[in-house]
Amino acid sequence: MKKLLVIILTLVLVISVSACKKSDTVSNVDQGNSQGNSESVNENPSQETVKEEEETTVEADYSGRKLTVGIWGGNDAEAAALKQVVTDFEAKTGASVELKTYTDINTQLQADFIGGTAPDVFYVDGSMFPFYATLDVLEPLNPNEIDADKFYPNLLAAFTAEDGTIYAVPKDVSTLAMYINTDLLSSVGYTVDDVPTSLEEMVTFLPELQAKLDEKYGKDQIVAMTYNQDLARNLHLLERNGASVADENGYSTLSSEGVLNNLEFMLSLVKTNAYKTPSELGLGWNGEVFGTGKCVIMEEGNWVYGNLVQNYPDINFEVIDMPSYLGKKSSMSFTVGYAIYKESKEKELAKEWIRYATGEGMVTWCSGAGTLPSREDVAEKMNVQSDPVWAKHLEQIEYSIPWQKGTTISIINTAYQNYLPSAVSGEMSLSDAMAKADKQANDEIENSR
Amino acid sequence: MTKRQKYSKRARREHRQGYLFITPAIIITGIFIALSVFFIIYLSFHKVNLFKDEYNFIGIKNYKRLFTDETTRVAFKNTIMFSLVVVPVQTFLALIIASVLNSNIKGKTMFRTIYFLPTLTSSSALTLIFMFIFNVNGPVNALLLKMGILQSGVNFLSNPSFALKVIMAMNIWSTIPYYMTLYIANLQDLPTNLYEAASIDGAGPIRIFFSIILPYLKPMTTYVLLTGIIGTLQMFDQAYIFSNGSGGPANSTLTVSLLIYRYAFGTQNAMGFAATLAIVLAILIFTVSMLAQKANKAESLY
Repeated sequence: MKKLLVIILTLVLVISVSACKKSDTVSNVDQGNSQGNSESVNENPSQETVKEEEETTVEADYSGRKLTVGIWGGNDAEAAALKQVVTDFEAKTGASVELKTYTDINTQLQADFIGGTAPDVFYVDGSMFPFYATLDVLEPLNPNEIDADKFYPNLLAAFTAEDGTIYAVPKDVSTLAMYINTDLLSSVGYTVDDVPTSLEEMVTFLPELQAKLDEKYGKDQIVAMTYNQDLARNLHLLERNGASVADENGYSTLSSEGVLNNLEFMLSLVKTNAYKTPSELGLGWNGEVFGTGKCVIMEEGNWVYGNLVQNYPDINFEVIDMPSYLGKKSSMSFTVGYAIYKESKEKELAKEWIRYATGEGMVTWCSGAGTLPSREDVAEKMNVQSDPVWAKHLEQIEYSIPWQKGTTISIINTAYQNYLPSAVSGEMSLSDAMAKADKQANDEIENSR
Repeated sequence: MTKRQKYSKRARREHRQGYLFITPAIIITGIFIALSVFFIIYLSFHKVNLFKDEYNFIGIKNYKRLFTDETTRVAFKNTIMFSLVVVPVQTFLALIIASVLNSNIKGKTMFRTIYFLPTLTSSSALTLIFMFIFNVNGPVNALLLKMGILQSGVNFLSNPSFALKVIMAMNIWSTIPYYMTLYIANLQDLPTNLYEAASIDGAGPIRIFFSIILPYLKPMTTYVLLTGIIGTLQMFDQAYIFSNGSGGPANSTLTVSLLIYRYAFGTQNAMGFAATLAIVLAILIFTVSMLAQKANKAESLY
């Protein structure tokens, strides 16, 4: 009896061990990658239809070759859109694509660069691009091979090094715009036209709106407007009037007079008590606050549009321009590009991927993921102008500044986010807080040189 | 002349076999531990750019920087304070709860099971749960508001004076069960005739606790103290999740481990300094542990 039991147990163990098929996905378990979204799709497509468009598609056969694409995880819509692009690409070239999803791309990708295991093609965020360009890990791209002239020039410039070499290709762009909950607004007697178009007027409008909201819904239930304490969102305000958060050598100048003046203004908005961060309300991000009906106005990027439509369909909203400050309209734009790893063994295939993903694939990606195309011809194909929300976001490109500022901006941002709450809560004076932030950032920058 | 030991052939063969058996362990330890330690020590004397494979020897500049860097000072202060508060509290509370649960109260087993649950949860999940509990709109604020202690909700998570204390509370809450279980297991061995003898002598429960239970648990207390010190001085994951990697409001949740992580990765290019910090932390842990061990043995109550 005992022997039988032992034999059965052994069989169960053997079967369970062999049932764990060794997939050829790269596991990032030791790097804390909890979402193992790596897919390896090994399809041998039977369909012969290949879309022949323009002169960029090269009908080469890459069957049997594998391309690794490094991405960061997004929401479901993005994942589905990317999967579609991958499927189409595999159908076209016969290669197989493996997606390597990073949870903390900046740290993990650097570790991969050091270890020499970086994916062939990967996302490069516009703000991190200057840093990666100095590391000598990106493959220079030939403008002719990637249709450089078809992209919006300021976006392509974000991925061009100082010597003019292009290292990455922008795959999309997102801008910030102002979202207004029309139901909430009209319930307290305002219309969208009442919302001021300048931030200076907002300082008086927001407390009035807040008072009416408190009256109707109870104190502290709904806030008039949300904001973020993040240079990625505040930069366009802080750099108004020629101010700059970093000097030409990359050192932090958060406590310079120009920046402090602009920050004082931002604080005057905060002091109205009608202007709060999502974390002060106990929620994760603007989209969640807006979607759960806890704020009336928010400034967010176009990525929230699909999210709102899908997850919070009963919120009626309208999208308008961001309010002007000191007489000038402004917004932030965020662009992400594809770059090729210098030590990649599949450079040709990687270039095919870039050509496809920023060409035909861009339509699939942008419509599915909810971002704006970085090429004008794709924008026309997608008929971006037909949807008012998209059209509004597209308009913002004109006066938005890109989220990118040299190699040290992430250090400055960390210091900024570290000390701004103390200034907001009144624990430290603004100039003290920013001076401390400057010191912390500059110490770290100094030591990294 | 007689100092040379002569091993017989058989003995020598057995020695060889012994070495053969431990060769795998030596290889693994050698690569992952010894080699890493030497590499870290090597790194700490250099300015390193791992991407470009540049190692510039800069002597003890990294060590000198330890004293001038403001963030380092804050990180050490946070870590030491964290350890100073958490270790005694968790040891003491674990002791008391263990001795209570060892006595014959009703529902002993049920309590032991319930109290053990926090240890089974991963610290990351616990951090998120506590972030929710101490949220501005969360249960703790609601309770304090209702009791009238506060006028408006305190944002524990963004307040520099409270952030680290929340993490302390969470850490104590999640590690007490483990130590409590160790103590209970140890207490099972206590011969019951000692209790009887003490009660015959007229000792009340408090006297029994201090004169019988405490001394008996001394070796276990050494272990609890040591692991507590080592664990709290290295605390990283809770601070990281809590502050999203930045080190919290005004650097209040910045621990040395988190600082090492920030310096080693990111756009800092300060891998050499991170190595220096790691070495100093290791020396600190070693020293404190030695001291704790000596202190525990010195007053021998046996």
